[in-house]
Amino acid sequence: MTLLSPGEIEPVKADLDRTLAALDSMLLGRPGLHRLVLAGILARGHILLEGLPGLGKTALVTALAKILELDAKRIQFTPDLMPSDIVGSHILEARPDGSREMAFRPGPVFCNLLLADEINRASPKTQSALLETMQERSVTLMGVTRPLPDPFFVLASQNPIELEGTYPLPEAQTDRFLFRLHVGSPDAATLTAIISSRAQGKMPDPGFSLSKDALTRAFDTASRVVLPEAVAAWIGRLVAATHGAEHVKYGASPRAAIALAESARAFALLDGRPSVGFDDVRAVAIPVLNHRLVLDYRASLDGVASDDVAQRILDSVPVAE
Amino acid sequence: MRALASEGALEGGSAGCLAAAAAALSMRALPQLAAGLRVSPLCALALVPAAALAGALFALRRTPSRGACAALTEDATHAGGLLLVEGLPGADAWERPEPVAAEVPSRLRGLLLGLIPAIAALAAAFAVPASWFAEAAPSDPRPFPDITADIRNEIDEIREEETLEPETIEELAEELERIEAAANPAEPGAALDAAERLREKVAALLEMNSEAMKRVVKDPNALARMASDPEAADEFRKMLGDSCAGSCPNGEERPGCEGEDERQCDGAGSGSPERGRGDAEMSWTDPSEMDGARFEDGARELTPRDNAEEGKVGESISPEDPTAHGASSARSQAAIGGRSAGTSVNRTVAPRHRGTVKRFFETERKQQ
Repeated sequence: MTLLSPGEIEPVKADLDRTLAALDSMLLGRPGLHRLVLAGILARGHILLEGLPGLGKTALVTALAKILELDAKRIQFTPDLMPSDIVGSHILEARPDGSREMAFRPGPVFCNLLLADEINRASPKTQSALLETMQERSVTLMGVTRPLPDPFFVLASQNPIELEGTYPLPEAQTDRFLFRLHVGSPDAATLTAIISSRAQGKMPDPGFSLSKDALTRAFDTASRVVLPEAVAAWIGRLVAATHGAEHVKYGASPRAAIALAESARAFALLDGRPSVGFDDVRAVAIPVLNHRLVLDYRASLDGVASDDVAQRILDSVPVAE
Repeated sequence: MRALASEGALEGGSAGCLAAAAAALSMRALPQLAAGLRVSPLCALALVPAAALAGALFALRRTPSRGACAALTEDATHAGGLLLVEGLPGADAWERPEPVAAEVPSRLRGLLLGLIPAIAALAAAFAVPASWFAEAAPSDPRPFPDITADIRNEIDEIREEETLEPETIEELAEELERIEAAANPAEPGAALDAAERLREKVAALLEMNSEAMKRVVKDPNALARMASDPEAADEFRKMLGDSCAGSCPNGEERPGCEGEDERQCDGAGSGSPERGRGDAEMSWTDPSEMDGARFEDGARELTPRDNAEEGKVGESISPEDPTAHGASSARSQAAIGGRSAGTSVNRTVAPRHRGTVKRFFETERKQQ
């Protein structure tokens, strides 16, 4: 194992810094959220954006698609959406020679960046259509498995307050999201800046785009960031501590440990470092764990949220045994 | 290291104080325990430094590993993992920040606070008045000379009665002398035990004599035998006189000694709360007697197998069941014993329905 040299990291970091700057210029007042989203992209993870309507969840994904020069598609999830509307279907097609055959028409999932807007409005059957695409990055139809374009990300949004006509995501699906990020309301200064500089709220042109090659190089670099043994051990203890913790019915899965490690690597790369520190893990721990902890009834009685439980676990597990 | 040792010593010291308090209390509450161990309760204080030393040594053995120290330093420095990858190739190309000593949370304050109640418990163990234990302790055994005096008196009594062989009596006396000679003031327990055993032995012999005497008194053949031997008869009469002397258990004078012994008290002494001896003969008195015990008059309840006419308490008459056909109807006709079928059905009311029928008619009468 060799540490990345400064010469290898600096150009990647410069690209990532420009990407972040472009994002910050397009969407005002959310540098922390943008940093986490980019870390999630670098970790090749799917991201669930949770927030009230009008807070810019869709705008964030659109801006990201513009900057990353990726093939982005959007699916508006509705209760009558069918799995075939997402993954595609076979249709009977007439050939020039007069013969007919079932031809596959790929669905919108065949893209690099899929915006699943209001994902919890679709029925569980349709939500389940995303399970294979998110985990295996492939689609299997009529016995044929088709790989999705690389890279492939799902950035889903959901409204946490509208329960009428919604279907909460099953644990199997939420576990496939690397992060669940809360999109909060901007402060007054940000709102003032938005309405004074944006006609009709339109986003400005990013003025920068990250090529696919640069993104691939960033992926490679992120995977070479060293995870020290002590940090890895702490991640293991953190995830193990979620089992049996107060207010927790079911703890985090091994996938959570992997997600913690990968996203911490990405965060270290965003900082231009060749190794992961404890602070990197702290920065991503709550978005990684908050949707993976199944809380018990006492949590709802005590008014304890999963973020609080994750923070408590983070504070209680020492970095060294 | 020093902090770790101090924390361990404090932990051990607290535990030692509590252990010493428990040991001192035990030794003060149970003096025989202290006597057996041949130690003073003050010796329990030695547990405190011993436990403190053991705690310090144990704490030093728990010194964190080098990796743990590096992790703590890395976390304190916020070096982004660079301090943890020092040995890896390419690490020299990166500028590492100056390590900052990690702040290990000290438990000294908490341990010191924990030591206070432990010391208080130890002080209390020695400060408790001895009278508290004296009340709880079992009563002291009787003094050795008193026991031996009692035994000597009992042996003299047996000797005067001449109911045992002289050799046996002498053996008892010699054994008593041996016990007295072997008694060691430093270890009174053994002498006391031996004296108690001898006293039980003598008491058992006295009891056996008493039982044998009673059997002789009650045996009519023995009386006859005594009658043929004037000398023995005189002796026996004398014994009878002795056994009849005294009073009844309720304090009244015995009416006489002719006949049987304990029954002399039956008439005059009846009504006494004294229930007599445990091995007294069984006596059958009214109302339960051996011959012709009395029983309460009663009648057996009739069962369905008994005569139906005797058990019949009434008849119910009802219109014919229109749903009854065939065999069941024939059985019904047979049951009513030749009455005109088709007009009414009479059913026998079983004795077990007596209460229900009675209540039914009483209710009907009340309603009318």
